[in-house]
Amino acid sequence: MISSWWNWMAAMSVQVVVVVIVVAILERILVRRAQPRLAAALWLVALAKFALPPTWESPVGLGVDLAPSPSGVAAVAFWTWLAGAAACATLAFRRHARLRRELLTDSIDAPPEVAGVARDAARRLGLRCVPSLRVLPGLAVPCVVGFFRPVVLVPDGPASEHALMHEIAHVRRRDPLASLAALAVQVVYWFHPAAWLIRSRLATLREVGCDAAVARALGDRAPEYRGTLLEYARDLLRSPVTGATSPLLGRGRLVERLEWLSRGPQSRSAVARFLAPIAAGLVLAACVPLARSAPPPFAWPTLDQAQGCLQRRFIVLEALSHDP
Amino acid sequence: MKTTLVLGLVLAGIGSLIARGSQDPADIAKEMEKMKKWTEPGKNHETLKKFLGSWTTETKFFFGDKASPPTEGTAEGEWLMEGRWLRFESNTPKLMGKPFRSFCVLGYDNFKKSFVATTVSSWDTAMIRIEGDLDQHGKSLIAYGTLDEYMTGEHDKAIKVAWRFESADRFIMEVHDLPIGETHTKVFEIAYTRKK
Repeated sequence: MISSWWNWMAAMSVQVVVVVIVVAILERILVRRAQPRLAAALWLVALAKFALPPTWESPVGLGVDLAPSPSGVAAVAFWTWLAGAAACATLAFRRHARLRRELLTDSIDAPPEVAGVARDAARRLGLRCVPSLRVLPGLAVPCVVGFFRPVVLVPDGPASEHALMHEIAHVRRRDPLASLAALAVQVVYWFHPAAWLIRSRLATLREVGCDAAVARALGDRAPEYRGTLLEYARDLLRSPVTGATSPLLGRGRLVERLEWLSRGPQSRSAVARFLAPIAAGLVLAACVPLARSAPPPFAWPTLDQAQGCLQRRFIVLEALSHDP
Repeated sequence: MKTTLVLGLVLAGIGSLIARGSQDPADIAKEMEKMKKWTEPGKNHETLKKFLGSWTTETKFFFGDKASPPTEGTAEGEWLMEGRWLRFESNTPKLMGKPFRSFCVLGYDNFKKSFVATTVSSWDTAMIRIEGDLDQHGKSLIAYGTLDEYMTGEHDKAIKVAWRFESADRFIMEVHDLPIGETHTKVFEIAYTRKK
């Protein structure tokens, strides 16, 4: 078992680096000229690579037998990995449980006027049902808590249409589940920087994706949303808050979010929108299965296939070994 | 008549003594040096030390670009005559279904200015003799010889044996069947790794 685990991890550790490099290059040269959802899709493929068998073959594969399985080292590595994964899982679970408890315990039902704004925001985003909505007095900015049954938490006071649309967009896009998937990968591959990088990049792109969804829903009023974003950024600097998908995750990348917003859908050419997904898909299809094709098992040739007298001699010697 | 015969014998004896006494000492010294040069181990014999020691082996057969799975064995290299002749014995417990042993005597012939080797094995009753030289970097010893192919009735088929020294603790011996052509001539290989 440890040997299989070692082979999987050794091959995956190398292969995923290749995929991350390819995805980063694709994002830089292709996707930023297209749509944020394509960028997110690319990074999701990189995330999915962690869960796909590293034995998927390709003619340009790197090979899965990159590292031999030294029994002593592999055993130590396995138990270290297991301990690390258990620690990461425990920490993540406790953090989420504490956050949920702290935020939801003191929250109250949303007043009708806030619920009305939320209903309108949900409708504009294409949602038939309004997600669970709670008000938490003292909360700095709205956020979404929970993975499977997400709850939108808003501060008390007048409801911000833009903030509600952003958080409801998270729910509509099922971002909490995507966040959970990235967290699960990070728990399993806690030792691999690529897992942390992918999770971080996906978190940023989730915010960008919600911004784009809100901007699309607002239409001509999209520039107002950009102003709201800047306003929240100022509030965050004064009073930070944490949350499963709160804008805090994008705090350090606010410039990138504003850049995506400022480009807008009109800046992306039809050619770029058409070609970028195809090109990205082709490149990824080529680089995700990275295992080298296993050579066919050796079979002794027949006498008529022998070249030279020594091969002929070996074939007869081999046949003699089966002769009772 | 009798006196003449005795006198002749005495003169012949004196002549031979004079002739012996006239041998130039430098000549014999030169001949002795020549003898030493051709018979004493030199710096080329140092190469033989690379084979000394205990080794594990992996044997593979090659058919074009396909190779058989490796078969493990052992080998021992030790002096047959210190600094002059080396014996190299390989032992594979099960190769082609039965034990395989080979015994090689390896040395350097100062006069031929070539490495020479003779090998016998448990595979057959033939003795293989090869001669060869180090490459210019001293990393490979390439030798050529012939063997009679009893399976086809052919005589003096050219073979090449190459020892490639990858490090002090690992080398590979390849056997090439040269009549195959210009490519894929390697038919047999033993990789030697020094036992720790």
